[in-house]
Amino acid sequence: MDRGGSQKKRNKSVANVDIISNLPDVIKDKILCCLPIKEAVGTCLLSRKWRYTWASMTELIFREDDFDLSNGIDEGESNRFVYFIVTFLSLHNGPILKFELNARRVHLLSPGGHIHRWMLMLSRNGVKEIQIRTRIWRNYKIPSSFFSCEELEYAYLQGCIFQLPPLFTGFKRIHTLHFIDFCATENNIGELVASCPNLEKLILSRLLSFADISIHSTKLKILRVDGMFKHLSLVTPHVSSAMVSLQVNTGYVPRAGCNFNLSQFIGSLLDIENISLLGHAFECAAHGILPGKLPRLLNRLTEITLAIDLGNLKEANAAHCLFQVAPNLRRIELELISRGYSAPTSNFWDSIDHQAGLFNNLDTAVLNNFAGSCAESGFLKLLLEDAPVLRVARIEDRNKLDKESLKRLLKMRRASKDAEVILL
Amino acid sequence: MSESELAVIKPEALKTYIWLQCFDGSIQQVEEEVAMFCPMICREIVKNGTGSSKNHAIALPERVNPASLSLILDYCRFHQVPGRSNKERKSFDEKFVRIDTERLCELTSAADSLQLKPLVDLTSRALARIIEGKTPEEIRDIFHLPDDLTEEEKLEPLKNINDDPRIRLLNRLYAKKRKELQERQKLKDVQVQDEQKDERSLDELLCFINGDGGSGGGKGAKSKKKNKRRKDHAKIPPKADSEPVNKEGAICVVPRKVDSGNVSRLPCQSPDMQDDVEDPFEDADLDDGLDPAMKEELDRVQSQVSVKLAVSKDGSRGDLWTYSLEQS
Repeated sequence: MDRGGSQKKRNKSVANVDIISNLPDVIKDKILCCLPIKEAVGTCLLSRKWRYTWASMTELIFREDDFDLSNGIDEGESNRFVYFIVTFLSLHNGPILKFELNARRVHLLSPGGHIHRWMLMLSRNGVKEIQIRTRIWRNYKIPSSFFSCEELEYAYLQGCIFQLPPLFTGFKRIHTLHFIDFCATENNIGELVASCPNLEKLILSRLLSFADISIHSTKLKILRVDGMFKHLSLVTPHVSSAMVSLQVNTGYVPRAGCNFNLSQFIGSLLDIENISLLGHAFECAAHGILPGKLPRLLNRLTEITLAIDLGNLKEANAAHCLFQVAPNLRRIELELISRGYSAPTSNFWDSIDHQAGLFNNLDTAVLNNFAGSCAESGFLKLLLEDAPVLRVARIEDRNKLDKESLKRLLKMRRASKDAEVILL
Repeated sequence: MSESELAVIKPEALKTYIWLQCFDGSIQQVEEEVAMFCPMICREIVKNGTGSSKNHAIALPERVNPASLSLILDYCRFHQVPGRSNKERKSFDEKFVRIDTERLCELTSAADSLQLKPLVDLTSRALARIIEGKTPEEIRDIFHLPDDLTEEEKLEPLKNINDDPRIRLLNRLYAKKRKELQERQKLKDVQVQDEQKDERSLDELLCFINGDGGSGGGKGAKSKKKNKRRKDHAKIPPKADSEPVNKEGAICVVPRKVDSGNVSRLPCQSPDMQDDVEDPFEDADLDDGLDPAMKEELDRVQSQVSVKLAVSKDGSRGDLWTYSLEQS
C-alpha cells in the first residue's frame, strides 16, 4: 500500500469521505475529553456534525493553567476563567461523569459563590467523579448539594470542611474519598465513612482535627491518615494497606493529648498486608500494645514501616509484639528517632531470645538515621542473627557513625549467608 | 513422557488456531492466545463455540476491515505476553499509533466493535493529540470534514465560549459583513420609501440614542449595529428644532472617542457594554483594525444616499457620526 505524501494529494482529487464524524459517540466523547477543554469546545466550528458534540462531553476538566492567567489575582482575568465555566455549564447538555477543577488562584469558593451553583448542577447530572483542587485561602464549606450526588464514586476535595446534612442517606456507590487539607469537626468524617457502604479507599492528607475521630468500615481496603489529630480510633478489619502518620506541632496540638488506639486497630485487622506508622503515631499509641494482647497472627502482613525510638521501652515492646504476630514479614523499614525523654533501656533488645525465629521470612531491612546507640545496635544484632533468609540490610547513618562503630557493625554475626549489609 | 519434555517439544501443529472471518468474506487464522486477548472474540469462542474450524469461523463485525484486523492482532500478540515491562508496552504503543490518520480512525472503529478497550483508549488519545493545537481549517483538512456551517451559525452565541482571538476576529469580520449586507438592503428600502422615513420623529431618534431603542446585550457586533442604525436615523431630516439639534450635536460629539478605541461609544450605552464580558481590551484592538475598512464601506453606501439627507463627515478619521443638518 502506498501511503505517505502522495496519499494526501490523491485524496484532494478524490471525493473526500469524512473519516472521523461517523465514529461512535462514545469514541468522539473520549477524543474530546482528551483535549484541553478550550480546544474541545473549539470543535464546534469544524462542521455541522461537530457543532454540538462538545456539549455532550462527559468528562470536564477545567484547568486554570490553560487560561493564561498571569500571576496574581487579577479580577478581570480570573473572571474570564469563571465566565468560561459558567457559560460552558449552561450550554452543556447531558450527563457529566467527571468534573475536575484545578483552580489554585481563583476565588470560587466563597459562600454562595459559583461552586455552589456548579455543585447543584452536577448533582442533577449524575456525576461520578468530582475533583476540586484549590489552594487554601481559608477552608470553605462544601455545598450541601454535594451530598445529593447519588452516583458519586470518587471525590477529591481540598481545603474543605463539611457538615453532613441531616437527611443524608449516604453515598451508596462511592469507592474513594480523598480529602486534603481537611479540617475535621465532631467526627463528621467518621459519620461520612459510616454512610458509605462501599468505600474502599480513604485518604486524609494534612488532616487537622481536635475531635475524636472514629472510623469504622468493613469494606475499606486502603487507608491513609496523615496530619494532626487528637484522637483516632480505627476499626477496619479488611484493610490491606494502612498508613497512619501523626504530625505534632507542640504549639498546636500538644503531643501529650494525642491518642491513637493502635491496639484496637491492630486487633481488628484480618487481611492487612502492609502497615506504616509514621511521625508520632507509634509513639502515641504504643502504650496500648501489651505482649500477648494481640488476638491473632497477621499472616498476610509482609511489610512494616515504623518511625520508632528503639530505646524507648514502651515502643520497643510494642514493636516486638508487632513483629511477633507477623510471621510472614518480608520487609521492615524503620525511621529511627531518638525521642530522648524516657529512660534508656538499652538491654531490651539484648534480652530477647535471639533464636526465637522472629524474622524467619525477612528479606529486606532498612534502617534510616542509624545512630549506633546501644538500643539500635542491639536491635541490629538481633535482626542479623535471627533472619535466616535476609538478603539486604540497608543502614543509612547520615554520617553519624564513627569508624569503630562501623567496624563493630560489620563484624556482627549473620544468620543468613547471603545477607548484604549496605552502609550509606 | 514427562511433563517438562512435553512442554518443551510442543510443536507448531499442536497450537490451537482460531478462525476469523471479516465482513468481506476473507478468512484468517490466528493463534488462540492472541485471539483470546480480544474480549469479543473470547466471548464468541466460549459461549458459542465458534472459531475452531474454517467452516465455523467467527464472524467479525462490519467495522473490522482486514487491514485493521491485522493491526489489532499485532497489538494483541504483543500485549498478551505477560512478561513485558510497562516501559516496553508503552514504547510499543507509541510506535503502534504512528500510522496515517485514516487508518487510525478505522482502527479505532474496529477496536471499539471488538471491545478492546485498551486499544480504543490508545487510539482515541492519539486522535486527540492529532487534533490538539490545530486550527479548524487544518483539522478539516486532515479528517476531510465538510465546511458546512454557514457564517450565521459560526456567529451564534457559542462564540463567546471560545477565547481564541483568531476566531473572534473571524466572527467579527463576519458580523461586519452581515451588517453591511443588511445595511445595503435597508438603504435600498430607504430609497424606495423615502416618504415613510420622513415621518420618523426626532423623539424616536433621541430615544434610540439614549439607549431605550437599542437592544440589550452588549456584544461588540451589536454595538456596531446600533451605530449603523444611528446612521440610518441620521438620514431622517430633522425637524427644525434647535434644542434637539443641539442635543444631537452634543451627543454626536461624544462618539469622537470611538476611534481611540474606547468601547463605550455612547455614555448611555455603557451599562449595556458592561455586559460584554469579552475582554474589552481585545475588542479595542480589533476595532482599530476594522475601522478603515468599515469606513470605506460606509463611504460607498453614503455616496448612494442623496437628496434630503445630508450626512457629511469630515476628513478626519472616525468622525463618522458628526453630521450637519441641512434642510433640503
